[in-house]
Amino acid sequence: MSSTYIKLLPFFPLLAFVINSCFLHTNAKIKLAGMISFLGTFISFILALLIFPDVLSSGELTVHLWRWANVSNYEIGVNFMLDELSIILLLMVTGIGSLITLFSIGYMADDERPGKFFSYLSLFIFSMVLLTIAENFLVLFFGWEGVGLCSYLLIGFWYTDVEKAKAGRKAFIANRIGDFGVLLGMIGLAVIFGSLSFTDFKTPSLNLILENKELLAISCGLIVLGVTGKSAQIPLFVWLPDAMAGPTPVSALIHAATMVTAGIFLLCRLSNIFIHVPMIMDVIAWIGGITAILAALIAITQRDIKKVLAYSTVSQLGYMMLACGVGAFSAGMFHVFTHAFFKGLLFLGAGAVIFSLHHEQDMFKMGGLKSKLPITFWTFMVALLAINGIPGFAGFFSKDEILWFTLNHERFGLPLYTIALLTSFLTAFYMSRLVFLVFFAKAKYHESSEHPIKDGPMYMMVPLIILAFFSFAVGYLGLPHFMSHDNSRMFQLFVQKVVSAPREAIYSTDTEHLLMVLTTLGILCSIWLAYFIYVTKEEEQLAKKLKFQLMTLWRASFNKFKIDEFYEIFFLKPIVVFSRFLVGFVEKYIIDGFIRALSIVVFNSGVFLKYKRPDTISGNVLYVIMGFSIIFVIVFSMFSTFK
Amino acid sequence: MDKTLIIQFFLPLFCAISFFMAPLNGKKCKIFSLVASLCYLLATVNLLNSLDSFATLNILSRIELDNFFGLTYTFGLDGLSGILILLNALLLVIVVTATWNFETDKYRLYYFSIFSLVWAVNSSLLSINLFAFYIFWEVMLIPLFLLIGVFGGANRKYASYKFFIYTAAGSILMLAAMLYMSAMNFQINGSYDLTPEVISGLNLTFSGFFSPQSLVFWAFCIAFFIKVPVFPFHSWLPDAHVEAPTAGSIILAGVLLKLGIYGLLRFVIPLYPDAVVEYQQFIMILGAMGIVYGALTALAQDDIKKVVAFSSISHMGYIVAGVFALNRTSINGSIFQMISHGLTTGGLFVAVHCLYIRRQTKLINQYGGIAKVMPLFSIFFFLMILGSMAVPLTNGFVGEFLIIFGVYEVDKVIGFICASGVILGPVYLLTLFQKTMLGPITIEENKSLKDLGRMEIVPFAILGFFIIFYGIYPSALTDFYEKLIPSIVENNYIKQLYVVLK
Amino acid sequence: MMEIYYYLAIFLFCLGLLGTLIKKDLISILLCVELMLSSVNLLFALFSKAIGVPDGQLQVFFVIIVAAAEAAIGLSLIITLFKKVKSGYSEDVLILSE
Repeated sequence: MSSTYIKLLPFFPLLAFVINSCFLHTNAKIKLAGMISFLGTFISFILALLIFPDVLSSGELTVHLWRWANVSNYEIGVNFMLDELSIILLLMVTGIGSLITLFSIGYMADDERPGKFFSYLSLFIFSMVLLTIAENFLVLFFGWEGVGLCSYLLIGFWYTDVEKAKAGRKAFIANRIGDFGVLLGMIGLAVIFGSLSFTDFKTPSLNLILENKELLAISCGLIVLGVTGKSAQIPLFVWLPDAMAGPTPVSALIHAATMVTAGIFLLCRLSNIFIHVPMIMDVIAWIGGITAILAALIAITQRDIKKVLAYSTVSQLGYMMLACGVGAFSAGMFHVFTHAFFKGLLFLGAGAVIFSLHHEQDMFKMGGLKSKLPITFWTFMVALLAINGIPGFAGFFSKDEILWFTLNHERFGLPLYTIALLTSFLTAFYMSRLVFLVFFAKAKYHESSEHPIKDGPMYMMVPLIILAFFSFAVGYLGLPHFMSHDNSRMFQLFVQKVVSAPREAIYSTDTEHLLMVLTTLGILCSIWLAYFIYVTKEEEQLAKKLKFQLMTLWRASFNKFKIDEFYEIFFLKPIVVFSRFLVGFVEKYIIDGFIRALSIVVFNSGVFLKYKRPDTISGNVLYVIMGFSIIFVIVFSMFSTFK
Repeated sequence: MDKTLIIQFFLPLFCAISFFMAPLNGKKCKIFSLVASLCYLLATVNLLNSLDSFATLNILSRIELDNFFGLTYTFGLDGLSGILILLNALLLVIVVTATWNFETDKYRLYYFSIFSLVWAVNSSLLSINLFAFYIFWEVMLIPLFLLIGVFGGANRKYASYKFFIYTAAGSILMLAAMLYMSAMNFQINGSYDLTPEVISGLNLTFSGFFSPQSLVFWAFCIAFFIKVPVFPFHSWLPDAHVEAPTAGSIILAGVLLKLGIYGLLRFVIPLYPDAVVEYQQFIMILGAMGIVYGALTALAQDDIKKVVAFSSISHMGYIVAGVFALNRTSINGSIFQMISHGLTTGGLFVAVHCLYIRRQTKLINQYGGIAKVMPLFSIFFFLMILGSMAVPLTNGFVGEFLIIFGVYEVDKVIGFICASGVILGPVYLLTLFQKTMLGPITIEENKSLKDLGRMEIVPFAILGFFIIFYGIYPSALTDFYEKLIPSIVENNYIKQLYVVLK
Repeated sequence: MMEIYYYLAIFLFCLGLLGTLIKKDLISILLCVELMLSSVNLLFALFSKAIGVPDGQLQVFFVIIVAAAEAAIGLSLIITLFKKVKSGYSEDVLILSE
């Protein structure tokens, strides 16, 4: 029974895509298109729920569809697999996906091509499901590129604006650079292990690993490149902030809940291989840590609400990378899980705010919305508490877990821990700043009578409430040991059946408790600091005075440390200039020039053989006779020799 | 001779000649050619069905001309040539439907050229005898010369002459090598005939660059490299594509270029193993350079057809690198990529044709924001671009993946360069799509363009179907030729082992 | 003794050949072509008598008939040409030049 369900899993979103793109493309009935997409995703969610008990009891389930190609001496098939790791991600993707689809029905109400939007959304869910249930690396790559393609389509959805179209292209190409890495890494692993199947990668042969140490390191490094592309880490994170050009539900789905977590998911899938290359693991940890703090530093000064959330996503993904890098893959996965809920909620809440204010996105023009948008406000508060890591809410448990395992890392524990700790304080600061500016500060918008500011329609509010509940509850799946002995760390243990387990801790559990308390205190301080600057001392313009004092730092942060400009100067411009050089000079003068020179030589060498054609009859007859005589003489002499 | 073979072989020739016999006007010409191309497709499928097996060479007919220098005229078909013949027949249908609204006053010459071109190409695919192959190789230049020279753009005389003379010059080298081997055969066996078995029986010696096997190898290679085209010998392709009418471009890119690769696979790699193994790395580097060069030059072009032409060079670079990697996986990928490139690039040219019919220009800066007024067209155009970019679940990905896999196994560095095509591909293709389709509409005339008509959808639908179908289920195609591949490379494996053991 | 006819035929042929090259009159050129033809005719008869086989003399009749037909066509061509260039001299016929 379950195997049929597995085969049907990607079918329903695909069906929704086909229906929406063929039949409802030009139709403006948004509710119909939206409900079809919602049903497609929701049915897959139900199927995943039905499969869950089977996975719980018997572990891994595989399904073979058809043969794809023959490579070397083995066969690659289109196979699906559901094990503990993928069922979690699948439930998350389809669940949150259906909620976001529901939200979009309200958000995209006044768009002229809603059918197209929902068809892309369904295609995205289809690709993501494919990625999640892939049994071998190739099917995962199908989903991997598919989500990249869908992010291109959805980010550039309003393509009549050139900047938005360019943002889509940037996302696709940054992802493609990552895909280059994944492709070569995948092939490298296939060459070493003789198989592309994840079942084989879960228990890799140590002999093969020892024989091919260099190739393994190179392949894993390339895969890390791919992960930084998809999960927006250094150096390829530049597409994520620009991707805010797309509609907000798109940002929620792609950049908070699902696509960007694909990279971490891949790392967890290959965790049993990565633990044998400690150098690459260190690289992953440092990339994660540095990205986390860099993005947090940029987020402090941004004005656009979506940009703050974008950099926050990059920062949180840095946490997940850090977790994987120090060997705590299950903790990283747990943070993926909790992050999906509260970040999705944050983005949807931001969407609700933007919708209510009629597409105003600058935070400094908002304020005092606490009373105007009650549901939005309360759900947003839950998300804020979750992401800050306040005890009792989801983010606390997952973030704490990561911090703890970072500290216990054998080589770089302390520096990485300091970075992560500072990042969590910064996170609390800028997220609180966001909430205070939007909801608590003095109102700076203009309310007109025909556009009253109130909560959005039910389609938008229900998902917010559901997500708020889960942002609170989901943390309890991974309780640390001292809080509950029986159910402790349920989530992590479940995932660890597939993923490699973290090492034993160096420090004692008392240290763990102490640090927990201290971090919470530090976070509360950051929240109070934000409150102090942006709400209480508002009339005294404390924020502006601070900005003036720390102008250079502020400017560096506001300009995103000029990383985009750096890429522009050192990579993009040279390529364009080089290609123009190739066309204008190399192609025209060297390659083509060689041919043209050759033709001129041949032409001129025949010049001296030219003669003026006779224009009288007798002149022509003379040439005929001359030619004929020559032939006659030749033939005559030939025949006489043959005699 | 086999009846299916007779029908399949002579059908396009009869159609081509009949265009000049009957006084058909434009409309009747079109309908007749549509019917004829569909019949031809059926005849080809019929012929393929009647084969015993795809893995070995099925000799379909053999005519011995004992008095004429002892030559034999052999027709044979196996999985590799079978697929290419099928592709050609399909592209004939696509060409006829796509250029349905092509306006000219010389319809009969136009369809004559198209049909005789496809006839010549398929005949050379069917011939096993090297001389017959060469005859048809040269014959197919003439209709294309006519197509470009009569129906082309402003600079067509230059482009058609350049194409014809450049390709013919390479073929002369091949002819010289063939005559040399034929004379050798006469001294040994007493007949001037030349087939692959004969050549491998000659046992040409290899000892450095100026030895017989190496010179013959390079003569053949240069002829095929000009056709493919491989990186330094490509300068005829952009001019030919820009000046040719759409039918010429589609058949040129979809059919003729593949003939070069077919020649390499059939007549070069199995027959000159020492030379192939010796120069393998050099040629793989040429292929890899072609990928990067094609992609980078495509970025800076201002004419849509030139972008597609250079993308062809880039894709063929993949195929050449894959073929000379001598790896079963990469040759599998190369053959697949041949077919998929014919389909996707054919689709791109059909798209260019749709734009050209409406605006009479192919310059990129004359377009912009077209997706707003022609949404259906932009979907199909995007689908072709996806196939060209090698996005998974399209057929472009299968070939590239297998090629990169095989090349990476053989040589890591060249594998890296080949894989960088994965990054460069979207760069120029998405730039093209964005500059023409996305953004605001800046030019007044573009606001009133009409979307695709009924006849224009047909080629897009056919190509789109195959692009997705072969991306999801590539076994449908690889089953044809997969068992052939070991026989192509086995000589080389033996030689490689020999080199390694030395 | 028979050689004299052989030399006569060759002499007539060369005469006709030179005539076609030198003469300016269109009809004179045609006459010289006929002269070449009849000299070859003479050769046919001569060799038939020398070998003793009658086939050559039969050939003479064929040649005469063909020559007559060809002369008719040649004359009508000259008349058409005359209508075009309005002159009977070959130096005025410049249709072949650029």
